Amino acid sequence: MSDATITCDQAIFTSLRGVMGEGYRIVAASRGLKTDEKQEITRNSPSHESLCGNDDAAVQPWAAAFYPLPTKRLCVAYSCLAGTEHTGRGGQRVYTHNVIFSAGDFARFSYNPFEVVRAMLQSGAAAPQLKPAAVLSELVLNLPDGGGEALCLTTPKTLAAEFRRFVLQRILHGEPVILDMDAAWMETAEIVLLGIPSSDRCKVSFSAGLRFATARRHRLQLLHDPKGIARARTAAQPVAFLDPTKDPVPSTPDTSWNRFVERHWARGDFSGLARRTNRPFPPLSPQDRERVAGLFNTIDSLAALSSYEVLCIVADAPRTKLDDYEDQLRGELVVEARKVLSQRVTRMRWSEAELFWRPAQELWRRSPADGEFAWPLLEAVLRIACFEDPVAAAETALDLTRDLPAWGRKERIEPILTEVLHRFAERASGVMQLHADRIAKLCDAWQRVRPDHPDVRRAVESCAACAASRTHPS
Amino acid sequence: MVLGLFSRTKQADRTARPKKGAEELSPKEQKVATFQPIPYESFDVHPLKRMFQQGRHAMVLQEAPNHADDPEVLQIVDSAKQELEQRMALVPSGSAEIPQTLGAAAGAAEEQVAIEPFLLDVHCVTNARFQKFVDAGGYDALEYWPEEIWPHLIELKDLTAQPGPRFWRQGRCDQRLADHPVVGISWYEAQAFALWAGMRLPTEAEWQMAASWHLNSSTDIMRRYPWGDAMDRNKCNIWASRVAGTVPVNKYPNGAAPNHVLQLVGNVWEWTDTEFTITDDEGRPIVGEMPMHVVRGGAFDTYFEMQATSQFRTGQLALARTHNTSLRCTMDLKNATWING
Amino acid sequence: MTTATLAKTSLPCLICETKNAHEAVVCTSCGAPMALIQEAVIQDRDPCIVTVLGDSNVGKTVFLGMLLDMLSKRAEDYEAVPKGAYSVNLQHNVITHLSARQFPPKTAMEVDDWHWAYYQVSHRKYGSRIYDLVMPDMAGEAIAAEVANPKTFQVIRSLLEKSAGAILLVDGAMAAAGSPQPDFFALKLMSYLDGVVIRRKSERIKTPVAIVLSKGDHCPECFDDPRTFAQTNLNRLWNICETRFANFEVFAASVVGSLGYGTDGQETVIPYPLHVAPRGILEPYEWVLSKL
Repeated sequence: MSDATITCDQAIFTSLRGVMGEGYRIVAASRGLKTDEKQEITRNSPSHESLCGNDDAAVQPWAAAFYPLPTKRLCVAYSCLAGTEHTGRGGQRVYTHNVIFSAGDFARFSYNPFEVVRAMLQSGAAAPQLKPAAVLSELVLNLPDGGGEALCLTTPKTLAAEFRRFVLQRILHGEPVILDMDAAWMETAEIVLLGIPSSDRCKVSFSAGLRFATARRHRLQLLHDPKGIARARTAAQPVAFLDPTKDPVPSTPDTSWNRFVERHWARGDFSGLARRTNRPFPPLSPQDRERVAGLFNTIDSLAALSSYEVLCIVADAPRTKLDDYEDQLRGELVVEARKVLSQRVTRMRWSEAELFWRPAQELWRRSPADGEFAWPLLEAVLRIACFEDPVAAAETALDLTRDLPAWGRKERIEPILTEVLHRFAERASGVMQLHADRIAKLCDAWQRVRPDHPDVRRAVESCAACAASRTHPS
Repeated sequence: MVLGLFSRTKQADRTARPKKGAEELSPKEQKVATFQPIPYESFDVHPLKRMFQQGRHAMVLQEAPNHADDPEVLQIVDSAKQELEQRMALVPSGSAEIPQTLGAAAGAAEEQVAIEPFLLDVHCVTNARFQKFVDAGGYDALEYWPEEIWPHLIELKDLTAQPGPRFWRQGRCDQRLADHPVVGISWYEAQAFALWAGMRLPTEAEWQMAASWHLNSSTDIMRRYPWGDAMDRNKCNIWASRVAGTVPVNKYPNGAAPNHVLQLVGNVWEWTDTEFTITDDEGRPIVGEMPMHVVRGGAFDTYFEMQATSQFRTGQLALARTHNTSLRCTMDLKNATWING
Repeated sequence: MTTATLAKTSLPCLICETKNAHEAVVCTSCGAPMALIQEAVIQDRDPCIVTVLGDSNVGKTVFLGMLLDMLSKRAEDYEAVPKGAYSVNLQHNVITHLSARQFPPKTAMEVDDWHWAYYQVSHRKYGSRIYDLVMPDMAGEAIAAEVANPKTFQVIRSLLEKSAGAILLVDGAMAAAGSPQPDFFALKLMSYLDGVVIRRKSERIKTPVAIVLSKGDHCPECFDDPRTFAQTNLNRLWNICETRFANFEVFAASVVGSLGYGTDGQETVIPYPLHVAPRGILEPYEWVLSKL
């Protein structure tokens, strides 16, 4: 099989009349299906009248479900209607095509059960087979285009932010929740799933578009309950039943993860959300999740931070190696921060830029890599200073003459020092009247570190001439 | 023409006499009682007399012209007319609206049928009456049976594989059920009996006219039940009457139609001469596993009162020999010479 | 929004013994109505569970619905009082459909959609004795799945373990037509029952089991001599009953008087009950009751 395909087991659960019996059961399956898997599929599969209707009669109802099997494999089920049930006893036949695959293959499906559903639909596997062979061959499905991140989703308008956050919070805590909505079950399920770290997603069983059933113990159930039957049946049970159009807005703790996911939801940036949550995270504890979300939040907030804060973030980035995923995230944070700073620093005023000097300098001295990042910033800061306040630039640049790190190559430093000193020498006589002592001290300092530099000499001479004229006024 | 399909080897059984006389059985007793065969009757060799004794009074009238020379004919014919007068009632002209859909909802398709006056049996055909047909070799006389049923005639046998209604034994009915309507007969057996008796089965429109009494008048009144418009479980034998079996055909006189025809509703379904055709509410035909004929009137086990009305139509497989379906014969008025002169 | 945790005062489910909060409407585990459990507590006596078993489409729903309706109409001098409106749902559903000349919709496999009937039944024959009868209308597919793979539907096992009596419906018409399916299904079911009912190994099961040949309207021979019919056409079932069950009897039943067939405009054939004529519905029930 090619790398672009996945081979899965499959099973059809529907109501057919056959030689071995009739009614709802697994009527056909591939050989790889185990007995206890069949049992679980039977328990979870929908039977008569189990699809939620839709107000739009033109739209054929369908449903999707996802749940783990006792063998650790996973099952994605696609259900639709397939004509009148053979007994003719009212209602339509519910047809469910189940695809069974390993956790490894789930990763290849971008940890997204709806990618499996889309692949089933694309391959035609979900089309009802009412005369299937008892033994099915394995099912070959194409992997999603764009690595599962090319998503065309919209945030359902009926699900307000507070409800979304509440649902997410419960699911992350392993608590079941039932959402009563009259439509958009699939979209809602998918966007909620995208808000869950990849490592946790295989544990989040759900059904979308199926009526409530006690036997289907899914963590997330999206359904339409116009008669309030499901709500009544779940009364006094440890499950949250929510109708976003009627129920009071629930309160949700303000966590980093909630903020992170909600930001993407609100923007409709599901590809971005998928890109982040689809990372191959190891199992995350709530604390881990908060740390990860904190990093995502920081990355996303860089543009809103002051440049100094951004620089501090880069400067504070730990040097010790953490877990892979977190280390990677921090690396990404630094890259993003640098991008932001690089864009910003060229447009700064000296009053703002001078705040950068110290942290940037510390960063420069920290490591060769940090030095590589910090040096252009230092140069940019000095140039801003040169332009606005050459004296301050000369004062600041003195820092670059002391305790040079090993990677602080002289041939890289000298040009900017020359530029600074040249501007200082030009301007020194002009501001001598105002800052005589300051300039004198500065000239002394530069004479000590760069006695032979022509601009230093020129500045010293200007300074001396100026001092003489002050002692002997004409 | 006689077809000797069935051999009667147990002659002793034929001549056996029951220990008890005819008596009424409760349904519970019907289930558990030991079978008591009705005694054999002997009939006159004179053909018209025999017909009379066999209860084929209409046939007597039909056959009388062939025996014009016989001095006894007039007397036999007069007796036959008297019997018919007592046993049959006139149903006046009227009309019947026959629902054509299963739901028979208001406004659904109906067929309007005009009914000419006709005569209808006051009672359903009893076991005793049907016994005469069996004893007369009715099951072997092919002239009473349509050709398509000939291959199946051998299947029309009783519990002991003798020709006769399904629940009989040794070709005999139970003496204690002699005056109960004969059941366990297919539409073909019902039709064969009617022909043998010189009559016919009513059409369903005729049956409905008789039960609903929908006369051609300006009032346009149509009865839901023969006795009126309200169900009364004391006027008929349906499930709610708590009888749980057939009763003698002369029970429930207070449930009679205006012309004193009894038990049009309840006790047993009645075969009609009409093939059963019906559609669902979308006009798609509903059919049986085999051809069906209309049965009317409900039976002792009819659970829903709405299914035991003068308008309710249902069907039964023509070959079905159920425990709750019987027949009632009818005659065209033109053959009723005692009325027409 | 409703969220709750189990209250301190919890009720064990009558069927599966799972503890449920007092306010719960259905058992969290098996889906049995809690009203049934609460009613049983109020009565302060153990209800008799009578299960109606059988394959899919054998006629369990119609049989049970008709039985309950007949009881509530005081058929054969029975007095049956439904304990709670939920108990009436099944007969309401069945009678509404049959009177409209339709069969009731198929019973879904999902336990939540099963109808449960809790009736207080008495009969003058039994004097003042009152039976609290619990009769669930189970989906045939669920029974088949549980029989084929035990513990697929734990509720069925729990129900059978607690059953005081059972009515096993077998499609008499299908058996008469020579299909081995009804016999095999019944054999499996009885074998399952044999394993479920707790007793000493050497003993035969004393739980009364009424075997009902359903759809008798299609096969009138069922009514002539049900025992002989079963012996001939359901021989495997007959044999296991003789060997393992001390209390069994064979009955025949039908609800429909005549059947018509239409289509949905496509390929599916739709059966229509042209008229209703219940027969043999009360007898098996009466027999089970007499054996309790």
